[in-house]
Amino acid sequence: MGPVPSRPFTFKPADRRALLRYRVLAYTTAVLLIVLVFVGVPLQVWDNNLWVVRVVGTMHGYLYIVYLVVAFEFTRRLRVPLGWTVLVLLSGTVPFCAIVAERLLTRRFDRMTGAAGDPAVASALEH
Amino acid sequence: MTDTASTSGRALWLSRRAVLAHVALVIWLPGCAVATWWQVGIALGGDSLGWVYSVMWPCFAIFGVIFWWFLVHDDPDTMGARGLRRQKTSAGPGPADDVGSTGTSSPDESARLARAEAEDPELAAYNAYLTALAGQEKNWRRRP
Repeated sequence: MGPVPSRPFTFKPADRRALLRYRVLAYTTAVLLIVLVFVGVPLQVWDNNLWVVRVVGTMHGYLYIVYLVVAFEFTRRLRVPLGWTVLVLLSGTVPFCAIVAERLLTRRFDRMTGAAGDPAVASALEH
Repeated sequence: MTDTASTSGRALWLSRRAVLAHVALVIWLPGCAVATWWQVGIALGGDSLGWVYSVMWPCFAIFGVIFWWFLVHDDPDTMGARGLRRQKTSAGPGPADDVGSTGTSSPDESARLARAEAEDPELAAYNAYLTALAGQEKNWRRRP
């Protein structure tokens, strides 16, 4: 038996499914938020049409909760410091910010797993 | 768990960082309760979006507790850029040392590993990943 892991809650970062989960949630909430802010709110203000805000707002609201859980789990895998984790989680409520966070975290994932530089590692990760 | 044994419980829970976390949590939880109450009122007033936020604020409260826990227990040395360097040098928990030891072990030991890898493709992939990681790190240095 190997030595005991140095920290509790150590995840294997090299899990492409975790990356995929996070990216799907990040893009979905980001797109819904952009629709909500740039379509729903103008319709509400200038056309008094509440329909888009109600439907898209509710969808974004509940998906954001899922995003919180998935994004948090992913930042733990990547050992993101807690201050940055808060920013990543809040980025789901500011238009376009979730996409920026997704880019940064994906790059960090690549750096951590070595997938960006080393083809041998990349092929090992494909399993 | 094992490394916190070196730090006494008191040092863990009463460090500057931990005390700040306690204070933040004590402010945060009632804040979430008030916000939830406020949104339930809005929802009952007929705005259906209020229900979303009535669910969300308790979730924020739960996240507050989770963050509080990690603020107390996280070792900053294992997080962020420093954590990244450490993760690369030690190539992850447990299994890394098993893989590293196979280079100098007896033939039947490596045969046993090969069998295990043949049975478990995920293990084989992980070991290949660890070997590649160890290889790509030029100046790797064990943490004392």
